[in-house]
Parts: sequence; C-alpha cells; structure tokens
Amino acid sequence: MTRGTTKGFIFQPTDDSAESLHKRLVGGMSGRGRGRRGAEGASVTRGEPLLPSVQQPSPLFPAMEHKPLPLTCGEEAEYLLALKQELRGAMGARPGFIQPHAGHRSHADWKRFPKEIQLCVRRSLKTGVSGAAQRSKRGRADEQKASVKEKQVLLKLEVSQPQIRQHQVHFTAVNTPHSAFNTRCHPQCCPPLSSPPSTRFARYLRLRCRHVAAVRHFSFNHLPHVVVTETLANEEQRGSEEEKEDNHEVDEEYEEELEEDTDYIMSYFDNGEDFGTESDDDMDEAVY
Amino acid sequence: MTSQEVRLCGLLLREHFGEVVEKVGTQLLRGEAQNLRNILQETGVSLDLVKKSLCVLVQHGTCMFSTGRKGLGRPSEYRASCHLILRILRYPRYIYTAKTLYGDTGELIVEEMLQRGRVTMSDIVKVVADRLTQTMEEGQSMDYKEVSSAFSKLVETHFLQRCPRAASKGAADTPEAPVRAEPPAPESFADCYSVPQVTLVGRGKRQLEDAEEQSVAKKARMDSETHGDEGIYWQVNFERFHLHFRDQAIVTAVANKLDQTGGEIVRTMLRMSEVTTPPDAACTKPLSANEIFRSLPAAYTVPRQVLDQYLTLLVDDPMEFVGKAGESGGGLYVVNLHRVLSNLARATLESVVQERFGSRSARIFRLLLKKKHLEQKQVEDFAMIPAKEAKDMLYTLLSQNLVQLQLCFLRSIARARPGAVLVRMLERFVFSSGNPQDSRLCAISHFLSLHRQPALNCQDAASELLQDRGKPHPQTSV
Repeated sequence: MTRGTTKGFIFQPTDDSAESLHKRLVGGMSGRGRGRRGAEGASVTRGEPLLPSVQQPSPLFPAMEHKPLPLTCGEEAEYLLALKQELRGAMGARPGFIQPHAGHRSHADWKRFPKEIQLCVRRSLKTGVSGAAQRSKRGRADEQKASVKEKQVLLKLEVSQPQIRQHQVHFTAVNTPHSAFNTRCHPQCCPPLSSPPSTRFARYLRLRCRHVAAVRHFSFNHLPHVVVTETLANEEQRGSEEEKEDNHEVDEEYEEELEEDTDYIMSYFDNGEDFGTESDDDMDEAVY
Repeated sequence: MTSQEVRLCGLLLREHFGEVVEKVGTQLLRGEAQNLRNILQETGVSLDLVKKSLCVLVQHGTCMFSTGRKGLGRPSEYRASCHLILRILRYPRYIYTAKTLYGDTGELIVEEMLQRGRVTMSDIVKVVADRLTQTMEEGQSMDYKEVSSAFSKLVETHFLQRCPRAASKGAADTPEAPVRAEPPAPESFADCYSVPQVTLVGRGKRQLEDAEEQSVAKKARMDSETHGDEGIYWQVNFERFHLHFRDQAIVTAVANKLDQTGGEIVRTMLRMSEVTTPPDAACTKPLSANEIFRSLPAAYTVPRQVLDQYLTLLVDDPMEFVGKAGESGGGLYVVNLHRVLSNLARATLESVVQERFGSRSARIFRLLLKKKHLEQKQVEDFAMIPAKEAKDMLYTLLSQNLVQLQLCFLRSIARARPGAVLVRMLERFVFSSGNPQDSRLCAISHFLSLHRQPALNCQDAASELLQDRGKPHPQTSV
C-alpha cells in the first residue's frame, strides 16, 4: 500500500491500525492484543493467577460477524456429488490410470500420436551397442553377435586386468549410442579433442582420431570422465585394450552411421528417445 | 496461469490419472511447449512412463502436440493449459446434462466417452449396450440400434464431435506443407458432425457368471470385427456444453426474476436461435414476436397480449435480458447474451459481498461498481451512511482486497489540493488467459472464486465485461 507524505491524508492504513481496527470491530475479546497485553503482562508476575478478564485460552479464530449460507442441497446436487465420486473411482480402474510400475498395455490407435511416444513400436534397447546398431539396417543376428562380442571383450578385460576394474565403467560409457562410430568425424566432435587437458591418454585419443579409419566419436560429457580418473600406470594397458576393442567393433560399426546423403551421423538426428534407456546391468560401479 | 491453478490441475490429474501423469502434466503446465527430452530431464521419470503419460494426456484432450517450431524433422512439442485440465471439474455436470436431455442412454454414452477420451462409435455403442444390459432384468438386453440412435442425436445437436485428423509426420516432411503452430480445430474438419455408416447389429451382452463361458465370450470379443468406422474417433464437444450451461443460466435467472413463463419464453427464443447464432456472438439474431408466439411449447401457451407484456417487461428490466431491435412482425427481439452474463456476474459479486460483510457494505460496493472512482467523502454522501461507519466498512473491504486505494494528486492552476484520495473499484474475476470469448464463458463457471490475486493480468477483461456501454443506468434503489 502506498503511504504518502502529504498532509491532509484522510486514510492512513498501516498494519498496526489494521489489527487494532479489526479488534475493535470484532469485539476485542481475543486476548491476542499485543499492545494491551504488553502493558498488563509487565505487571503480572509468575505464579500469580491470571487476571479475571482472561478466563480461558484465546480462541483460535476471531468471531464471525456474518455466518455463511448453507450449502446447496437437493436432488441435483446429491446426484452430481455421486457422479463425481463414481467417476473418480472408475477412472482409477481404467488403463489411463498409470501406476509407476505398470506393464505396457496398448489402448489406443497409435497412428494418432506422434511417433516418438508410440509405445507399440518398441525397440529392444538392451545395451548401448545393440541400440546403436539398431539404427542401421542390420538383422537381429548381427545385433546379438555384437552384444555377445562386447560382453566377451568386457569379460576378458575384467578377468585379465583386475587393477583397471574401476575403469570398466568408462568402456561401457564410451560405447553408448552417443559414442557410435562413423566414417567421418562429426564437425562437433573435433574441436573439443583439440583442446583437452594434456594427459597422455587424451593425446592418444587424438592420434587415434587421425589414424584409424573408423573414428570413434566421443561425446564431450564422457571425455572428462575418462580423463579424470585415469592413472598413468594403466594408460598403456587401456590403450591396448581399446585397440583390441576397436578391432572387434570396427568392422561391424563401420558403415552404420552414414545413411542417405546427409553429412551428419545418425545420432545428430537423435531425438532423445534412447536417453536413459541403456541398462545398468554391466556396470559394476557408479558412473561419475 | 497462477500457481494455485497449477496446483489444482496437478491434484485433478492425480485423482484421475495417477501420480506419474500428475508430474508430467505439472511440468507441461509450467512452461511453454516442450519436447520429450525436456520433459524427461525436468521430471526425472523414466522414459516409458513419460510416453504413457503423454499418451494419456493427449487422449483426453488435455495436452496438444505439434511438430516442432524450428523446422522440419524436429521432435514434436507438447503443451498443456490450465483451462483444458480444469474442465475435468465439470465432468459430472456434463453427464447430468446429457441425462436430462437424452435419458439414461445419453448419460452413459457421455460418461463412457469422458472416461475414455476418444473412442470410435462402434466401441462406445457396444460398451454402453453392455452396461445398460447389466441394469436391466434377466433375459432382457439393450439393442445396439437404440444406443446408436441416441449417439446420432447427440452428434446432431453437436454435443459430440469427430476428432480432427491426426497430423501425420509424412505430411509435415513435405516442404510445401506449412509448419503449423496449432493443431487444427475440430470444426475445420468438414465431416465434423456426420455420423458414419456403420453396421452395428446385435444386442448388449450380459456379464456371464460361468468362468468357462466367460473365456469363450472373451475370445469372441477379441477377434476384431470391423464395422466400417475404423480411424473415426469421437470426442465430447465441451464448448457446446458450455453454451448450453450459459443458456441454462440465463433461463434460470429470468425464471427467478419474473416467473416460470418468462423463463420459458426466453428458452424458446434461445432454442430458436441455437443454430443461427455463432458461439461468441454478443446477441442472438432478431426474432419477431409472431415467430416466438408460434414456437412456444404447448404447456406454456399464453395469449398474444400476455406474450407482448412479458417481452416488454424483459426489455425494461435492468438486467437487460432482451433487447428490442425493431418493430416489424410485431416487434423484433434479441437476447443480449453478453450483457446478461456480465450483469449476472455483477449480481453474484454483490450478493457475495452482502453475505460476508452486510447489506451496508454491499451498498458501498454497488456504489463503487457503478461510479468507479470515488473519494472518501463522496462515498459517505452517496451511500447515506454516517462517516465513521462508512470509514470502517470501506476499510474492511480494503483489507479483504475487494477495494483498492489509489493516491492521486489533483493539480489545478489556481491551487493544489492537499491530497485527494480516490478509492477505486477493482473487480476480482478469475479468467484463464485466452480470447475474450473464452473469458466470458469462464466467468460463468468461475464467478464465485474470489481469491487473493492481483487482478492486473485480467483487468482489461474485467473492464470489458463490466463497463457501462454508454447507456445511463437508472439509479437502482438499495
């Protein structure tokens, strides 16, 4: 509320006056008056009985001057109420009522919805590699081969190199759909590689970018993960592991990303439906 | 969209669709159009559940999707708005209206359609026939034909409409097709209200007690019988129901003010102009007194002179129910839709103030509504209330946010007034954002919600609704 400084102000609403005014209007019997209480409270000492004007605790709410009208009753109102309750109950039983752990049930004509939320067209998104592989027009057999091969490689790594176990996560992280191979380096991925923190592993990556025909495309948010927890002692081993993996997967993934006449890899058109769908089965530790 | 509205919408979604849909819906309400990735990131719900929730929201008409704005090949964007979700509050009223107009069959049709969102004609006929058969006695069952005829009647009177054709991705990819920001309105679809030719022969099935028979029956139902209307989905036409509520409110008001016969006369006028009046018209097309006389229902036939008297009374009433548009044909009359609604809203506000603060405060309130700006002294004079009490009451209204205080310095060349205080009226309506036509319809459903909101964003709508149109009002007695 604006409070002016001009003279001749008729109305000067302040918070204090509001309360005192309201008290006067209401009857002032609630013992919550701060102004009065303070003066009296000073004279009341501990242990003495309360003043005669205060017989009971102050009421919770001020008394109402005008009571509200009764609710609308009648046949119509009751019928509407019954309808409302019935509707709520019935909606709970319908497939539209989504429980957090419900299974999938198709209940609608899927052509009427945008493609990305159509649940009938389900893709098997088991692991990152197989998901990435789906985008190319390969058969099921190849997918299984790829996933089996990847598992074998990982298993080998786990068994033979226990000391770099804590880095397993980075292999799987690296193999997510965002790090799929392509024949041409995506323009977006090159600049970050040119200015990473100067560790031996990062330099190794840059070398690989130029040498290997199937360039590994790293998404930037994985790069710091890879670099940060790296230890110098394991770099060479990791380098060799990567090479092994590269050889396994180079042939399979070589042609997958380049389709049609675009210059961009398929993950450029990724519309986010595979986000967060990779399973966590292969991860032993948390991702940092 | 106020925060309380968003909260209410969230609670409604939770009651009807579960907590997951509540999360997704609230997220959609918070911002502008969002794509799937945004929603995933913001809500933290798993992808499958988000997809399902979006499907449910779209199915029930509470969420719209459209191709991305930034160009072709972009993911779809979704948006929701409060007024679409707040319609859920009125579902019982829609069902009850269908019951009064078309009986139990109509009621069940509308109820099932509201529960399912969008449905084909054959599906709904079967479901409703089954439900009706349950309630009937042993051995009787409901024929599909009856249900189909009730359905057709609902479509004829525009209470149900076809869903607009879904925008296919193929069409959006062609460079010639313009990228549309809004999905097409159902009315733009030519066959919006045409019932397809379906062959539905059969009767409703009673739920079988025997488990074996039940499994056999289930199998029989599972194999899809094509009825010739695949892909044609129907939805409830909410706007038509709102128009019906508006008409009902007007007729009830007239019946309360005059009597039942007057109400029937206005109902006849509204029914005659149902088809010719567009939904957002300010008044109906002119009707001659002769036509009205001929169309009165049999139960309320009155002599011609009495009809003329009623019409004259309605024209002279301060609520301005009916206006006179000419003299030909015994007098041309129109129903002033917008004016009636605004007067009704104003009367409701006044009655609210009267019930909460007393009749003298209501007098002050009415005065301020009419005069817009008044000084303290003027309020006392016009309302004929002693100064002290007037001050008290004004201050109570001010503390309840029904009246606003505005400081205004009046400067004249000769001398400066020390400091005149103007008390300005601010009406408290809740409007959803949108075109003014929408806001007027919402006024009917929302005019009892007085909450503590600054009406800054709806001031233009309020003034439009309540301003004097230049016609001098007779000084109403208190």
